[in-house]
Amino acid sequence: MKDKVYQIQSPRVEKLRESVLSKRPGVCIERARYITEAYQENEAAPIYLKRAKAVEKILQNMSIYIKDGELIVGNQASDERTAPIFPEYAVEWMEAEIEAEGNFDKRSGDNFHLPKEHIDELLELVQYWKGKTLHAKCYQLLPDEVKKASKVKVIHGEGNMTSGDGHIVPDFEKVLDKGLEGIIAEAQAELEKLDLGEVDAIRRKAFLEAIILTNKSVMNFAKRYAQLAKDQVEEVADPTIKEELIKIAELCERVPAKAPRNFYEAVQTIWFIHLVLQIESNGHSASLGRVDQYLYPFYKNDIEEGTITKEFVKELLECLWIKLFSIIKLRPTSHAGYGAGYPTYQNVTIGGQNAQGKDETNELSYLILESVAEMKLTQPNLSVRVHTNSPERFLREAAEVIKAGYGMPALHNDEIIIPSLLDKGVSYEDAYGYTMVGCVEVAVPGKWGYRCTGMTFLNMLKALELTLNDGVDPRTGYELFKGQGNLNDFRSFDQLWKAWEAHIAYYTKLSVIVDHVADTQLEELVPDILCSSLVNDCIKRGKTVKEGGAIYDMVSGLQVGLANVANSFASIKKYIFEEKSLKAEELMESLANNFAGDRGQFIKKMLLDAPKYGNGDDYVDQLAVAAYKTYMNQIKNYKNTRYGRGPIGGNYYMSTSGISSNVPMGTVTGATPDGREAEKPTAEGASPTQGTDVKGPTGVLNSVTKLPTMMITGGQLLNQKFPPELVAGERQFDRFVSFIKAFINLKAWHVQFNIVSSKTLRAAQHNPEEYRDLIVRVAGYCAQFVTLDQKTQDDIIARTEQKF
Amino acid sequence: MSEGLVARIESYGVYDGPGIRTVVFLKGCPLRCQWCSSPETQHRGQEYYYGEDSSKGELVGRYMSVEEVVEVVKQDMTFYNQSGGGVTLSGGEVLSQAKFSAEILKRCQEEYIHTAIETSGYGSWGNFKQVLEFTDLVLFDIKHLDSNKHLEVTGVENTWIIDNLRRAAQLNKEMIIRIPVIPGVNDSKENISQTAQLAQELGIKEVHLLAYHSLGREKYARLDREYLLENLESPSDEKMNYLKKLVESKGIKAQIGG
Repeated sequence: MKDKVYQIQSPRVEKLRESVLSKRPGVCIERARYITEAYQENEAAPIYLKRAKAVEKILQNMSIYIKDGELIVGNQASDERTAPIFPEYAVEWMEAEIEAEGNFDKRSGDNFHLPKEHIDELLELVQYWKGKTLHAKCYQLLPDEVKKASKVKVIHGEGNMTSGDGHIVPDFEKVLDKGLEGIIAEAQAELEKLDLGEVDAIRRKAFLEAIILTNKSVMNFAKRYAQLAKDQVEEVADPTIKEELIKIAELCERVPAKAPRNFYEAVQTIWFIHLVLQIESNGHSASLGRVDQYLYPFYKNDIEEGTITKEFVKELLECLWIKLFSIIKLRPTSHAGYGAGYPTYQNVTIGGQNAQGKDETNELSYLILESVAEMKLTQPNLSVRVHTNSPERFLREAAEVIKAGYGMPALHNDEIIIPSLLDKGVSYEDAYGYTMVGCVEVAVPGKWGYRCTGMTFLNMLKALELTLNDGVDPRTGYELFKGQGNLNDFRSFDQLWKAWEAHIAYYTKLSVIVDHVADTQLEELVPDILCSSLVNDCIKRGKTVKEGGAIYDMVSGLQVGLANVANSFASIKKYIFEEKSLKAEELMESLANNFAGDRGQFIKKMLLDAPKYGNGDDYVDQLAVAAYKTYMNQIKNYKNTRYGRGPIGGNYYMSTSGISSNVPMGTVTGATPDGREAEKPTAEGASPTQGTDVKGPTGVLNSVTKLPTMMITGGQLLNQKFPPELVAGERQFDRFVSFIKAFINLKAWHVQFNIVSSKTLRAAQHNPEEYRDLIVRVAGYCAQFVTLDQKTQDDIIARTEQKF
Repeated sequence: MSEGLVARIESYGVYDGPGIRTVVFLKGCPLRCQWCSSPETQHRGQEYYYGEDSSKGELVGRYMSVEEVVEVVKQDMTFYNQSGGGVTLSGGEVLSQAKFSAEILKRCQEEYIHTAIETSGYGSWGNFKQVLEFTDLVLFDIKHLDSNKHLEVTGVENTWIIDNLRRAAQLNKEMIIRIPVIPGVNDSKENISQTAQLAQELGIKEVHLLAYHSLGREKYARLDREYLLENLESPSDEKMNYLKKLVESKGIKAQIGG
């Protein structure tokens, strides 16, 4: 069997790709400048209109460009790979970082360059925002014990307060069906029905007016590109380029105002919408949904009419992927490590089935797969929905792309996700129509609120460390939750377990408090008007998404370190309470001194020899299940701020989609009874601890599928490493495809593969220049390996190295 | 139910039979092949296997009941179903623990798990027959057709082996001959061609050519034993392809690697 080679066919695409890939990530001042002006001019306006005016001003004034050879137009900031600034979310950290380092470009990973001439302007703008930002107001509301817990890093909710929401898929289908004029008409109709004498009508009026203004601003933004294209036509001589620019002008005159008539117009439409959503909000993980489904009617029609070729379809898709890759967001250093490698988690989902159980893969699904494979970029985050009746060809082509070794696509399993959604009260049709959002989270496109995953992180391993130390954090000395005793006090494993439950109950509550603080402030300060106008039923209800406008609104935080917790409990159970071969005092002492000395090393080895999660061993796997259920039993009692305000749900579930937080979460955690040294990363997602899954990939799946996956509707993340030789050649490739089918049948939630040898990764560490397009799967998303900080790189090498 | 000595059990086995398999390596082998890449499975008894730091050895060999082994094998049922895989008993030598092996294979067949054995063929026919009864696929190692040479490099003559091969062939079992291709030992045109000839005579349709590799080398040091093929290199791809064609010229399906 000859390996399929994925090579870009179009010279245009090759050129555009090279341009975006070679761009040093930058920061653009413009958004900060215009939003500050807009806020100052509209201080008295209701918040909805203030936001609408701000978006209007930004879209009217920001620099726009059409690069040579671009087929899809629209830029987020003054250049590609250049992050706009969102001062309304947080500014204090920017000032602090600039004061300390002079710029954002000295970080160990994820650095950005702000042009020198804009540094003073930024520092000046910051002064207006100080004390008014989301972050500042959240901080005022945070109870002291939450602040303390955040410093201990048993919880981490900073992302929500500095970055906003994102994690949403708007109703692209509706826009494709009736254009933004249709959205405006909807809002207009609601406005006309309003009786201003009624309670709440004044507020709704402002909201609906804001929707109309924002949608018009987006339409006008597109018209700016139409004009620019016309201007550029005059300046170029090349007749082909002239023709392309004329086409672009034509497109931008029409969409997204009116419904697109063909595939090209449809792609340009979704890009404009997706783009402005990311200019409006600082959130990430804004996702495109089931692209192969909603674009298919346009594709089919054009192909049948002979007005488009497959090659051109692929070129358009590749131009779109370059656009997605061009988007980046600036994050505080303190949060950047949680999602390392400039991720924006813009998910594209393909495949799946309809409510009749019929597979919905189509020719466009294959073209998307192929085009993403050819691009070898970290965006979009491509997800494939698989099920027991997925076509053999589709599974094999997906496996071929996986084999190419840059972490995509991730596989998501209908066989567990759909039942899980049904269990949460999602309607039958909607459950089958789900899409991935960001990494491994699921939602119903156009009907679900923000952050179906991605609320506050819970560091489960830190929670265990605190449980063993009677609530006192050995690193900071902070006292959090005292009174349960420490490991020396527990006479039985049951007593330890009771203490664990009490601790988890406490930290769960704190994490929900962080969410509520962030949510109430996000609602008050930064409502996303465009986004709300594209999520059902916000217009009808006269509510933003955050006010309860969405049909479904269920969320989850991210729980990190499950495997280490299970392994730690297994060690303690076995050695201290069953075999009594280790004394609690001795264990605590060697943890405190990080396994120093011969005795410490001996104990470490003993701990490493204890049963480990990820090998199908019930002794420890059942502890993982129980530890997770402890959290589940707590979190199910809590509601989010939309509860009772309209949406179905309004509650919480669980998620192991911890992105790369396992690295910073590990940094703050001392040595643990699973034999992990202090400051080393925790395990990520639902994956086993690095280097402990010695039974191979089947053992990992056997362990992971014991977890209460049905209840983990926030997504379960499994990183599976495969050495390249186990997918090479026909015989091994067949087995790999069978492995994927077994994954489907075992009803695991998600799997993503890193098929790259540790040797290659090491080489890339030494010669980053030569490995610029080495893409690795970090945790639910892909990143350019060489842009990661060394800690994260080392963690990935450790994960890859495992031999089985 | 009997107990047996198991060296280790590997899941996602991809070199010993079709599909995704669980490979049960038994401990104890009457042969001492110089190239053996799992010398830790040769000695019939538990033994220590020392790590790099030579501090604490790892005990190789665990006495397990048939049911214990079958429980482990059953864990990967879904993978067998999807890939056409199953269980392979390997070694060590399966025939040295014939009763134990037969019982495991029988239990697996009762669960509709595909069964394979990987054997040197060195054992009494009575033992072999007992095992074959519950075996779907036999991977039969033939190291050398010259008995003297066989004695020299494996420590035993091949008469018993060839005799068992002939008898087994008459049972119409699905059988594959596997030849470990060891440069300078058994890779002559003559030996390979004769082996293919024998396969043809016996109606065996497939031969696997397994290229020598030195991955087992460091294990000898850990067992405090001498590795006799210290400077031997793996056969080249050209050589392997040449031998493959040679086998195919006898009308036998040939494959490089397991």
